Amino acid sequence: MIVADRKPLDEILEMVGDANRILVSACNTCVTVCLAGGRREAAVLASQIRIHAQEAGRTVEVRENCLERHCDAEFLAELAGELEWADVMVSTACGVGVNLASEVYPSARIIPGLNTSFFGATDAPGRWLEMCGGCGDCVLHRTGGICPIVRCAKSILNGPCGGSQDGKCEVDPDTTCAWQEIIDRLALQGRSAELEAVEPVKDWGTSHSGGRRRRIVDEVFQAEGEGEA
Amino acid sequence: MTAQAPAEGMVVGSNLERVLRAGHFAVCGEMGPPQSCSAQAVLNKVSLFKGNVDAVNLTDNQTAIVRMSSIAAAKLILDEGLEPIIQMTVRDRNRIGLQSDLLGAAALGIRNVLCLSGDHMRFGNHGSAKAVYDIDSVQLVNTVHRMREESLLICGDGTPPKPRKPDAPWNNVPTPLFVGAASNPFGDPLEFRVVRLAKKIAAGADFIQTQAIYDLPRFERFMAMVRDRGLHEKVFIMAGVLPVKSPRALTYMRDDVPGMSIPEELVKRMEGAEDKEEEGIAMCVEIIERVRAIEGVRGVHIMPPMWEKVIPAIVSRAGLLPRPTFEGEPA
Amino acid sequence: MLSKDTVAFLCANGGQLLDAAYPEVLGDAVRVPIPCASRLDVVHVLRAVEQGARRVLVVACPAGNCRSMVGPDEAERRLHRAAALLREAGSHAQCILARAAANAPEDLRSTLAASLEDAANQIEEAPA
Ligand code: SF4
Repeated sequence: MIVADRKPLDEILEMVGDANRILVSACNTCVTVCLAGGRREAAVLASQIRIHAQEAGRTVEVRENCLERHCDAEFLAELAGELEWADVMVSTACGVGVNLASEVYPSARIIPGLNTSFFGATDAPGRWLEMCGGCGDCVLHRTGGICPIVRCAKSILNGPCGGSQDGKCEVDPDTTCAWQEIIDRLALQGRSAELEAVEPVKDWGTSHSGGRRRRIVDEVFQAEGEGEA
Repeated sequence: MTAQAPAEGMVVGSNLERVLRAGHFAVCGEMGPPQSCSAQAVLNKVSLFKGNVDAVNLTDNQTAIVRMSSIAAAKLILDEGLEPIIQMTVRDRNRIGLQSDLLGAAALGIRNVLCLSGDHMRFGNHGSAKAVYDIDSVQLVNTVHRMREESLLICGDGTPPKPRKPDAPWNNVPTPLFVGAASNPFGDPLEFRVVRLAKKIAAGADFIQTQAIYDLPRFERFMAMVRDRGLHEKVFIMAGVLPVKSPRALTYMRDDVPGMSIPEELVKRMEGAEDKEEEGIAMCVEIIERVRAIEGVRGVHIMPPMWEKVIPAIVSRAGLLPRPTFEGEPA
Repeated sequence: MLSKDTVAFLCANGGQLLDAAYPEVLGDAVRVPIPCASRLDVVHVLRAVEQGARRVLVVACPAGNCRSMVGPDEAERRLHRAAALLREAGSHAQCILARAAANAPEDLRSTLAASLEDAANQIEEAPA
């Protein structure tokens, strides 16, 4: 899932400025699971905005809603009426949601309530860890299912670097060294010999380096295209 | 990716390569370029190295602190008759920048390069910098090797002498660089350290400089594993030593520098010493003598952190003078 | 004496029983029954402040005395969180966690007295 963090209230308030009618719109998918921007978190944010206004002696109207998904235009349709009303919408969806809602409602002021961070998984209640760099050229079959692109601080393909000690990463002693994990995992699978080969340079052209990426499933995309024409 | 056997002929003919191939115990010293554009700061250190070492490592924004470019500093000392080894990390430049700088360094007459991952920017003075890490240090070794042996860049293009017309024939110009890599015998896991060394050799490393050695038993174990695989015959291994002048420097490395192993008795010895500088020199000389006796160690690399003036004393007391000189121009 | 600007969340096994027996302790505070302190939600606290509360009190069972075992600890963590969120929003409202068994009104009285006088006893110190 996509993991995000809520922005500090100050930052959100600065973006909201002197808007009087504020819509806080939550997303019921990833950011609900990572406790960053679901219904409850949106309620907290809305309440904070109201309390802040009260303390400042201002009146603002804050409404809340929660869409099933912000990353699908179909669900965003629900926002139409609310956006008529609102001066500004604070989205507690991930960045995908903010982009898409802004595309669907180009004249609306839509601001991000979260900092979208990474693709990760729940590691323990209340803790999420990054798992995948979305590089567009997966190498996990060669690294025992451990992503060196994001789990190694230096994205090393022929690791570990000289700083790995006691299984910890040199950059942060609270983080396990991804390469120690890779070595251990392949040893467990009896595949240590594979690590002797020099991994060639990576083609980052499939990653973010190439600009905005798109994926097309030809038959579906064609059919839609014809339908529209 | 073929390994370069030291026994074979000269590949670049740098002074370092000549010393090593002639079977001398080589000596390198490390110089940190200044945190300014002061050429004088570089030149002031030249006399400390001259005649005392075979080649001088110029660090590449070490500990991720912005300093004068290692290539620029290398050119400054080259003009003074010292032989530079530029250190090159993959932290700050992508493959375009790295290869371009390799061509530029070779054009300036630089003949040795040490390929490194580099300290993470979190440790330096620009912690918010965007990481590059386009290729890793093993891949950089192979890149340099290929530019020299095949005159090819990573993309497969050649390195022609001048702008080429579409159909005109040309001969690519090889990039003459003696390529080194680092090895940390104290990083974990120990067994894999030897595997990684083997990978660097397979990628084309000609010489290796190790992390600073204090823990001799562990280094001896490491070298035994190296010899078991015959790696010491495929690459010139130079042992890193780092003289210190205070017990604090030792405990700092023990506690705060990743991948270091410092035996407790050395800390005690330093604490007990009256003249700490003298003790630091004596300790370093002892370590040099010990590593020199280990089969497969072909030289020493002295890294005095901001204490370059100690180099002449260490080299002379370790009996490493005079340094060999060669007839005629480098190949 | 507590007035209407205090909202008191009372758990069924502790606070509510205590309040029934000794109603004078909470005075005019607005009572909100909750089944267990562990069910306290951060949003409940914020909403109470939004509606004018200057003080939020949670009466939970003493440690080790709770039917659900972790109720008071959970309540304490959430109240901490709520206090931090309130402070972030610029509110000076006070959050107080009182641990008192149903038959120990003195515990509650003393916690309240201490909290009302001594800012240091607040869960989170309100900004000056
Ligand atoms: S210590 Fe391990 S995870 Fe950290 S940068 Fe080095 S190889 Fe990568």
